[in-house]
Parts: sequence; C-alpha cells; structure tokens
Amino acid sequence: MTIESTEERAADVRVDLRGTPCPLNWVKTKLRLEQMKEGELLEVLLDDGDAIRNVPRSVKTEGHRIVKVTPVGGDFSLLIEKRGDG
Amino acid sequence: MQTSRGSTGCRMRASALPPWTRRLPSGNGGAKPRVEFTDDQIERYSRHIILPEVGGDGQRKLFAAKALIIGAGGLGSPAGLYLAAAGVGTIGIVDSDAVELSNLQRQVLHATSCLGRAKCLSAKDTMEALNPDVRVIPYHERLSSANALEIIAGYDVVLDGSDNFPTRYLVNDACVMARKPLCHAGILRFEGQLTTIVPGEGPCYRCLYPEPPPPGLVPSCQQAGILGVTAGVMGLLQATEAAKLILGIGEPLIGRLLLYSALDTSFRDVRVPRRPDCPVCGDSPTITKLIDYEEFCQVRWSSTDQVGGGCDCGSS
Amino acid sequence: MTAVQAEMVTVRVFGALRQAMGQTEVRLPCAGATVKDALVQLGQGCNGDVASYIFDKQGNLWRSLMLLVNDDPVSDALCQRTNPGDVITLLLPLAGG
Repeated sequence: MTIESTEERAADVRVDLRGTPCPLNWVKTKLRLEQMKEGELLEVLLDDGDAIRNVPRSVKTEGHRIVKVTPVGGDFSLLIEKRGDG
Repeated sequence: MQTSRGSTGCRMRASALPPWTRRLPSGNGGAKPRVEFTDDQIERYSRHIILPEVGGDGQRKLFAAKALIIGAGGLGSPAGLYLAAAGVGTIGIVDSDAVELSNLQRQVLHATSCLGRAKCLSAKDTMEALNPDVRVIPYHERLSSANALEIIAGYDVVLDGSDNFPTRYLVNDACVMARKPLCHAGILRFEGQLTTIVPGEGPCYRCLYPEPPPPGLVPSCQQAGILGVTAGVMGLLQATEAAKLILGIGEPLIGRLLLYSALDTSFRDVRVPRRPDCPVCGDSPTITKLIDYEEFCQVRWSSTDQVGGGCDCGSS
Repeated sequence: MTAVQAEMVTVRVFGALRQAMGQTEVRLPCAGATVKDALVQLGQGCNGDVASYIFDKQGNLWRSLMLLVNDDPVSDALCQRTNPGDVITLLLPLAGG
C-alpha cells in the first residue's frame, strides 16, 4: 500500500485570489481555512509580487503549514495544510 | 472556485472558555451562526479578521451580539460609534433627552444639524450611516424600575453611560437581577472610572459603593465640567470591555476598578472584591426587586453632615 | 530621607475630593496612627469641606466612599495602624456620563 505524501495529495479546496490585493487575499485565505478541518489542503492562486511575499508569511504566523509553492504562468499556486482546529 | 467543505470547529472548547463568556449567547463555544461574509464585509472587517484572536468566527460573534447602551451622551457616543464600526449586529440606545449645543463638545454621535432632535434617533442615524450592517433600536424614554428589566432582557451586554446616581444604581441592580454583564464607567472633570460587572463572577456596583453620596457632594459634569476627550477615552474603554466579553478574549475588568486621570495621563487599577453581604449580589440578597432609586439617592439625605468626633475603633 | 519623611503616609484622593483639597495627594506625618486618625488629620488640615466629604455627623466614613490602603480594599481599614510609606486612597463615585 502506498501512502500519498502531502505534496502529492490533491487540494481539498481551491481559491483563485489573483487580482485580490493585500491584505484581502490573506483575509480570504484565512476565512477559507477557518472553515476547513485540520489536515485538509487549501490551494490558493496568488499574484506575483506583494501577494506571494505576504500571504505565505501570514499563513505561517497563523500556524498553518506551507506544503508547496508552484509557479503558474506569471503567478503562483500556494498549497496550504490546515493546522489546528478552528 | 470550489465550495469548501464547512466545519464548525471551535477555536476553544466550551469548557476552556472563561465562565462569563458562557453567558453571552454569541460567546457560546458550541454551535456558531454560519454567516457568509459579502465581499464588502470582508473588506470592511478585514482588520478584525486578520487578528488571530478575532478571525471570521469572532466577527460572526459581533454580528450576532446585542449590546444596550444607556445614554447617548458623553460615554454612549464613543461607545456606540465604535461598537457600530465593529459590526455589533444589534445596538439599543436608551435616552429620553434632546440634543443641546453644550452636548456637542463631546457627544460625537450628534451634529449641529441635530440640535433639538431626540438623541436616540440622532444616534441611530449616525451609527447606521457608519455601518449599515448594524441595527440600532432607539428607546426614547427614561430608564426606570418600570421598564428596565423588560428592555435589558433582549440584550447580551449593557453599557452604562448614564449621568446620574439613581440610574446607575438602577442599571446595576437590573443587570444583577437579569444576570447581564454590565460595562460601567463614570466621568468628571479630568477623571474616569471603569469596571466590568459580571453577575456571579465578581463585585457589582453596590459592592464598590454601597450607598450613593449625599446630594451635592459629587457634582455633575454640568456643574463641575468635563474635558470632552476624557469622555471619549472612557466610552471607548467601555466599548473595549464589551467587545472582549462578546468575543470571549482577553481579561475583562471584573473585580477591578480602573482609575484614569487625564491631567497626568495615569492609569491605575485597584482590586475591588465582591461583598458577601451585598444586598443585591451577595450570598443572601435582600433587594430582589427594583426599588425607587430617586428615593434611594435623595430622600434619605436631609442635609450634608459635618465631620464628627469620637472614634469607634475597638468597639465591636 | 529624613526621619520625619520616613514616618509619612500619603493620602491620595480622586474625584470631588481633588477639587475640595485643591491637590491630588498629601503626605501626613502620622505613621503608626490609625487610618481614621490620618483621615481626621487630613480633614483638620484642609478646610471644613474636606472633612465633610469623608465623615458623616456621627464620625463614620461615608458608605459612598471607597477606602483603600496600598491599593487594597482592606476591611475595617479605619482601625488599621498605618506604616511609614503607606498610601491611603479615597475614592468617590463618578456619576458623569
């Protein structure tokens, strides 16, 4: 039996926040994470620049885990593992 | 964008919450009202939601909360403004007066164009214009023993911004009897006092001041004056206490009295214990119904006494 | 610090008492006396109005006045002996809103 690594698991929820300015992109990310269970994966699409610099930092400060950051065209995909209950 | 799978997980388990939060329906650590935010609300409340101690769950608690403000004056104005800005969903305002010119030095809910208008209606307009998410319920009447319990019953938390001793004792007694948390503040000249009264958790107003002072001993703001911004400071501290109670965060000023002096910018807080023999909140209450508070504060005093001699120290 | 200064207690007042006294606190050379003695001395040292804010006609502390010794609401504080450096705080309620 193979155990799927977190990096290989598909996201449970996807949110496209390209075009959403800071800090609203983090706020929307946070609100979505609040509604998820511990261990679930959220994929967020973010703009290059401030967004990809600020949101991962806020994610980690809030206690969640950045699983993967993947360039997507000129933008980025951020895969986040929800940590903590609520 | 896929729909997320919802979760009603709590930040803290109900048993870990301070006891006073369990008295606020919106502070219940159990089922939360699932309100979906509009994009405008996400932007409006973003600075709240960012806070780890608030988040979307906390903002929903504020939406669901009902706060009653006694008096739309010096304390009620800043408190009402900021609770409205915070998104407290229902805010009651009790005030029987009309806006006067001398109010406008500090009562920032009202404008020059509101002179002569009922304060509770002026307050409603200002607060709802600031935040259309908020519903303001005006009570254009004086709080009395006849209506206090009925009005207070519909709210989660009460803020006392009244300007006289009979009302302060009335509000205290009604909140103790109705088991409603009360954010109390008082002001005069350059000073303010603040405490949070949670029935069953700490002292009530009568534990601090068992009796009102004789008439004339403590002047009103009308007589002695008040630095306008001092009212602002204390009203905002009241609103802060109310927000903490609603959100279930921080340490409310239960069993403590905060003393503020604007002239030397000093804050001092002193411990104030609950009196087991308090007639309203004590172990064996003797006052179980609202009384005539005008009589309580006025009639018992026939004149201001002079200092007397003799020491009763040592007598049992 | 002189010997006299070492025997001082401070009485700190708020509210209407500040107006009556014209100051926020006063130091009294009465360490070792009771709290009540200190307050009587305070009233005698200022004008008669100050005393009337503190005691009623029978010489009892007004029940509208909160008395603290070193920021603690000590019960039966009036009979308590003061120590050098003690701070006695007198609070009147504020009704303004």
